[in-house]
Amino acid sequence: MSLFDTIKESVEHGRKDELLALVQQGLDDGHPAQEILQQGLIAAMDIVGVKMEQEEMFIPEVLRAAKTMEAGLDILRPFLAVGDLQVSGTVVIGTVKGDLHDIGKNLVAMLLSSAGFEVVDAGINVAPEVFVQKVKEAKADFLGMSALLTTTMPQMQETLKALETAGIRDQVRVLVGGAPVTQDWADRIGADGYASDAGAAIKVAKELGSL
Amino acid sequence: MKDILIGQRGVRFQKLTPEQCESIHDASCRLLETVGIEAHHERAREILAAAGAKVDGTRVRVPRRLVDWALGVTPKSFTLHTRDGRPVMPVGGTNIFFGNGSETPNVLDHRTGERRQGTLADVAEGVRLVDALPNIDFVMSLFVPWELEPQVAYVEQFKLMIANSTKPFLFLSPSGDDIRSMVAMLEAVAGGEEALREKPRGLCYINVTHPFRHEFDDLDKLLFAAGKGVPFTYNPSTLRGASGPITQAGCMAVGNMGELFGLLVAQLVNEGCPATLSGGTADKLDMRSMIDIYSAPENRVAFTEMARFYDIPHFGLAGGSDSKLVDEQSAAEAALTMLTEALAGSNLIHDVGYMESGMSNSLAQIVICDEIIGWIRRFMDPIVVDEETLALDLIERVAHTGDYLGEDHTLAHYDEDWYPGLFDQSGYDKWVKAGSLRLGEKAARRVDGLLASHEVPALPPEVVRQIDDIIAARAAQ
Repeated sequence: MSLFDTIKESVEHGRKDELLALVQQGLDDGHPAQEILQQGLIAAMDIVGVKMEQEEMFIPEVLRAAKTMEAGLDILRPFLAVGDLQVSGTVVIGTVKGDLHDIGKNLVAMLLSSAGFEVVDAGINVAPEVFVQKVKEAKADFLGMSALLTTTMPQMQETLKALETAGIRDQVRVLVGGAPVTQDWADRIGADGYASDAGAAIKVAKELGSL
Repeated sequence: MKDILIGQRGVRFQKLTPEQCESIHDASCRLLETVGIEAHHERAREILAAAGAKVDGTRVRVPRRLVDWALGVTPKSFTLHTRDGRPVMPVGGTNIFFGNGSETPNVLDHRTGERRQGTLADVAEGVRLVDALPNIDFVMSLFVPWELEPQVAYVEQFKLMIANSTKPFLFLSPSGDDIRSMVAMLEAVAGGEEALREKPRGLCYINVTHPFRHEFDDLDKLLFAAGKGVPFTYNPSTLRGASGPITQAGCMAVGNMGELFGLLVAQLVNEGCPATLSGGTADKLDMRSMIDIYSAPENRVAFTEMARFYDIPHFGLAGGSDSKLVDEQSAAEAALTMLTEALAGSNLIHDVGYMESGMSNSLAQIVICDEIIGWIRRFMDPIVVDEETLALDLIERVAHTGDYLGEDHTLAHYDEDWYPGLFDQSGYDKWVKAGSLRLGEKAARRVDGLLASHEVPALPPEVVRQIDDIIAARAAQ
């Protein structure tokens, strides 16, 4: 097995000590940090993403893989040039006004982060104007909104209106999700994307790409 | 409506030993004392502080003696009444009652097989069906009516419930203002605040955001319901592996802790107010899909046993399926969950007929559940052993000479056996002649049949007027 295959396997199985040794070995053998990152760590997380979607991997295993990958990245970071660490985009994420549920939103935030997105977590009970402000501050490429209650879903629409009013609707891709949210709802309110679960959220964000 | 009192029955399934229940109780009490609860309600914190809890900002730490006091003053039973004030559900002890579930976003249309969003018409129809079913004892709201604004959706829904059923109501809303309106509507039905307090027509279902984080609305609803003497369940949703540990014992300790906190607040507000325990449910969260699994074997009976341990009425959950359609899976999951919950002795078993993990309701599935409950109730009946049922004289007379078919004894007792209304137990030829129907097809036909024939007495015009005024006031808020 090549070094990169071994790295991929140890990320996937969350073997942190082994991964750290492998990454160090790669650097010692003269592999550029950029190559180890792309062909090892990021390639590993791509595999993890697919396996998560196919429900071959369980979420706790996915999160362990993500943490392992982050640890490997910490070793590489000093050797990476500016621009090597390509960010997939900046995402502002939060649960809409009136809704205080955060478990699903937190999971999506973690997975986005491990998939290479810069994540700004706006928290729970986020008012439309706060979303607008956070999007502006972060110059966000994406806005992710979550709702668990059917009564708070209309706040997604309110936030979209607030983005319009602020004149920044066309600068950000809006993704929505949460148990009662559907593709139909996303279409009706004019969101750019809908994700049925956390894995899909990452996939949809990647497919849409930043503007 | 049939009064079903399953008293002093012998069947009782038990998984936890009393020592294990004690350990879980100890763990919950320890968490209340050490970690404490984030209580985002000033008045609730003041009440707790005055009683001796340690309040630090929004964090409330509760000494064990307060918890034990609250458990001691909570009534061991209370009675729910029909719309017109007849006592039909003595909740507590070994009595078991079943009800459907509330406000799913979707309906599995029994006429078309289609999955679509719910409407007010679906709510009215579903409630009327539940009213007609002999084995469903209490009513919940079934569907989210999507055509309404959230501001009035819950109160409009509740009006339809009251208009379309006389069975006891279980009601809920994310908003405390809605709950105030709903209780006012029940007071209109009962003929005033005291009349309702004396004869509760329903139970307020309060979902709590997180076992350790009780938001303003959660506690607002609790303080209101407890103050009014409206029976309630205060359920801190605890998902194993997400808002509580993945292991059952740890998650139970957390869910039970949140629940005991609510019980304490309620009893401090109104000592001796009627309450149920649900234990936070502690559902399985599918670690692949992050879906809350309703039919999981691990979800069953544990909290019922904790409520039995405390001897406080239990609000349970069963009869919900994770299947996407009315099929073999949905029937199996409904049967397994309802039987086990009944065996453990849960008093109020709700969510009967839920589909796809609470995302849909199906009237056909509710009808199938009604049939299964009939079976369960008969199974739970005690076996009478006495002179009449042993029938030794008869046996000695008939033993070697004939059979029992023509005997008076057979005629006197044959109808004690359970005969299905929906399950097919006929011979093959008869089944073919009747159309070779599957269970789901028969259930859908039964839904139509009951909806065509079942009528609910109209409310007095004066009550309707009062209810409309309450809704108008809520809309104007």
